[in-house]
Amino acid sequence: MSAPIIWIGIPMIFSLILFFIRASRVITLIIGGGISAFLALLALTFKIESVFPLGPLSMEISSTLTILGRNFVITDSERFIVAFMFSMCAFWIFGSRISGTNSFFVPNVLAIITLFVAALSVQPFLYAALIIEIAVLISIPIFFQRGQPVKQGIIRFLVFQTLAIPFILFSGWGFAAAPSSINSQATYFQAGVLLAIGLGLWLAIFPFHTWVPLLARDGHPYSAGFILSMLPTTILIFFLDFLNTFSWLREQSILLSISQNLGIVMIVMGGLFAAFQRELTRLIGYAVMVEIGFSLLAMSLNQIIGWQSYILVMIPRIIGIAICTLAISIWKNKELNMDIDGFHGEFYKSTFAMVGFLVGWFTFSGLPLLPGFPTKLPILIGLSQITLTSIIFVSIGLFGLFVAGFRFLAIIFSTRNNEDKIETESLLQKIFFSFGVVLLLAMGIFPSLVLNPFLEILSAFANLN
Amino acid sequence: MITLIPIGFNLFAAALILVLTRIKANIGRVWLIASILSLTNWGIILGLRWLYPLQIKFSEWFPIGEISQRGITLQLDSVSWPLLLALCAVQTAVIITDSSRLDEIPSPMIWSGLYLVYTVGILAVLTSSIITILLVWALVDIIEFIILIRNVISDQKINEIVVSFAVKILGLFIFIFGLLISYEQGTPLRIGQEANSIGFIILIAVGLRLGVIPFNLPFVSGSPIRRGLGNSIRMVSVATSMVVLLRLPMGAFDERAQGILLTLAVVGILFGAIMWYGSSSELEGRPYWIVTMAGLAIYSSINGNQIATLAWTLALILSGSVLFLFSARGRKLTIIPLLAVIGITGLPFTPSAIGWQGLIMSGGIFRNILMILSVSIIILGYLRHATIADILLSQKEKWIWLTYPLGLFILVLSQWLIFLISDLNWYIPGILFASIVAFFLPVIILFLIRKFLRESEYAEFLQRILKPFGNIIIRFLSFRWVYDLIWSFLGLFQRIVNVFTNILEGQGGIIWVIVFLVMLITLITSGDLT
Repeated sequence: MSAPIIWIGIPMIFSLILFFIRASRVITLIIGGGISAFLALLALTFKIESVFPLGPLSMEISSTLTILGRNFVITDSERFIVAFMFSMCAFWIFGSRISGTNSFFVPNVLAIITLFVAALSVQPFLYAALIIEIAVLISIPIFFQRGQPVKQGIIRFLVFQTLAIPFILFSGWGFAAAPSSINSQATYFQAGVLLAIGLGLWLAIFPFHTWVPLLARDGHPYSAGFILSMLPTTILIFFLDFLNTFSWLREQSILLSISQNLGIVMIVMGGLFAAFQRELTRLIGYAVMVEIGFSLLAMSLNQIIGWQSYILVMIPRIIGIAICTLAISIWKNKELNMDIDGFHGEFYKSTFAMVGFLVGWFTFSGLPLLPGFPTKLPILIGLSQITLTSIIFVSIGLFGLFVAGFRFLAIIFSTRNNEDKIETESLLQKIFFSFGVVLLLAMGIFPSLVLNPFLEILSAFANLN
Repeated sequence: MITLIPIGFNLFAAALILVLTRIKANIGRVWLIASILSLTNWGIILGLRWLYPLQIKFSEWFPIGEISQRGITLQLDSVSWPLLLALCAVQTAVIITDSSRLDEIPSPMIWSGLYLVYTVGILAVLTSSIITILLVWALVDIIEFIILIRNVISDQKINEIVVSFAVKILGLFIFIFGLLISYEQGTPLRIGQEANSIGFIILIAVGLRLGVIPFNLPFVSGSPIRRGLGNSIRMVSVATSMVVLLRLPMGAFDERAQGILLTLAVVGILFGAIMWYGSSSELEGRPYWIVTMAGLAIYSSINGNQIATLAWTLALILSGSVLFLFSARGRKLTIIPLLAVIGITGLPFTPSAIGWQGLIMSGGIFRNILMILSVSIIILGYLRHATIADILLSQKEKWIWLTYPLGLFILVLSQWLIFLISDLNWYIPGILFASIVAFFLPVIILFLIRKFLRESEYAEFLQRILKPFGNIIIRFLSFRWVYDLIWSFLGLFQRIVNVFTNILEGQGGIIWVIVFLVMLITLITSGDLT
């Protein structure tokens, strides 16, 4: 038995089975969520390449699986990444119960996460690009909404993700050819540029960011939320592996400087666009831009505090996006106008969803007491030690997110159009949002306790510790 | 853990009152229990005087990095104890004096909320690390926002609450910005360390957090909430902001900058004092009271006198609360606010005597004169508001005749107890000429007015003169003109952003992206970026 069979093969088989029984929504959800949670727990408890006594028998989980000459390797230090991916998968699958996503959601999400794990473990890394492209293609059906045509945002998402593939493949070829090249330094540099462009397309870094707000608007909000949180997370971990492997990349001051500048551009643009945005669905897209900007800033610090922040900032982001998009999905299902002016007095009708959305939103903004604060402050402190000008720009971006939040606050409590203050939330909905809010508050109030265990993810990247 | 006793006690009281309200206990009984619990907590805090310094530290709150003071630290010492006792005294006074307003209280639940507000207030004054200050400030703001939003109904007032919340959060972020600047300068901000070059930023943050923008908290006029809960929220806001000035000495300003700051502060204090005097009632004038008294504290802080800052802060909270809770009146009862006035005058060997040392500086005669004048006007305004006729206590039930004055008296008593038993060594004559002028000038003016002008005519006359000026100043200080300017600018900016968004996210967006991409590649290959 090998680790890739357990964490790639088995969930892939389950996702295929679930695909065929997808009409039974509850069963699919229980099996999909259950297997994800189980695999996450398994990754946390079982050690790879150790012998486990099973009564009279014993079992060893090897780390490598070879298929057609390509290796899938999940080492013991990568268990935490696997556990993290599958726990997030379970989180998203269970959350979909009240989101009104289509029947493709559970099987496809399980397959997508499995492919992400496969992409992170495949060697040579060149093949990761193809695996991620397959995941992107599989993700398209989860955006479908009954009776609606495929919209611009979904197509643009597909176009940009597909455009990234040749860049990544060429960069992979460049990295492979560089050592034997006459001018290896130039080849490395060109490969690095191609890699940067590929990653830029994948991560929606300016100027390739336009699919993010469009996908948030045109796709099903919860499905879009899943892609907007999990795809960048995977890519960021994938890139971390690069930085860990190629030490010369970390020493390229130009790379650090570009990522710092692009990070700032992402934060400023995301914040400003959010401040003036009237459509709630697109707001999430801009928040995602800001979040990706923070990841780039964390990377640009190129020191332990930066790498730790790089990991920690992902956790509240995923939960924040989940809770916000879940709330939007519920409002969209109720056929509410998604313009923020359509939310007058909505607080009194869907209190839990509103509180969930606000907690999620102010997490992105970095409000103290919420997890965005302890995870973003180290990045800002690190940045302030380099340059204060950047801090001013970053503050403008965060201020934009705050303005958007306060505009929404002033509207939802309004008493206009509020003749019937009847609460319309189901018990399940209340439980889901309460859980999400408590989780974010726990992370914000006790960050050391709740967030520190996630730093184990870094153990897979020995050179960054 | 002893430090946490007042917090735990308050939380227990809040929970108990909530339960009593849920089981529909008689409001009188709930009031009695709330009063006894608050008095007990006041006694406990008083007793803590002989136990401090105490510290409780949760190290490693912050998950990562070498961030200075990354632990949560709560400290009971000679700085926090006076504020702690003052806040608990106000809490007790609010609950006890609510006896005269029982028939107007919408629900006993309000006392549960009150306990909660003071719990975070207590937590805030105990803070002794930068991270704790940031967290507690956010906690205070959020709780205040929730309580306020639940008590208003009109859209305009909701907007005001949101603006107030936004301004306070802005203050919080300005403080964080100051913290980041301190990192950039290589001297990370720490409690007890002089703020030096970021002192001005901290002053702005504290100013925004005093809770005076927008100028009037959106309560229904005359509602009991405005006196009890309104006063509590205002005073907790003040305490949580001022504690930062007490923990972070401003340090040495550049002489020229200090001169400008002090002059600006004097002008602000003088205007505030005039507006306080000219206000139609003490509740209408409360924001001006806070601005002027906090101004005195800030002025002292800029001058580097921390104890004077504390003295003026205590006068703001305690003497101010006497007047703001003085809802039922009577000739004999007026003695209590008159006693409270002593706490503001700074007469020798009184609680604010040391305050004058933070205000009167050698080499600034003009500023000194204006300062004495301002304090005189503050006292005059206080006396005026305290002697305006209102609902008579004699119209209330007899048991209230005893409890109500007791509630007010506890505030005066607390200020004197803090003065007498704390270890700050502030039994000093202060600045004799300043305090005597500031005390006797308003008394003489008031006497002359009473003697030669009927109060109503005098007030009407003065208000007629002051009102147009007041309106102009209010319009100026409300910063509506700034908001209008900002909105026009933002409107223009929004149009630009929308054009940019439409280009990138429109049908031709991909073409633009390719153009950008080509530009980027050209830049990289031409070596401009390298």
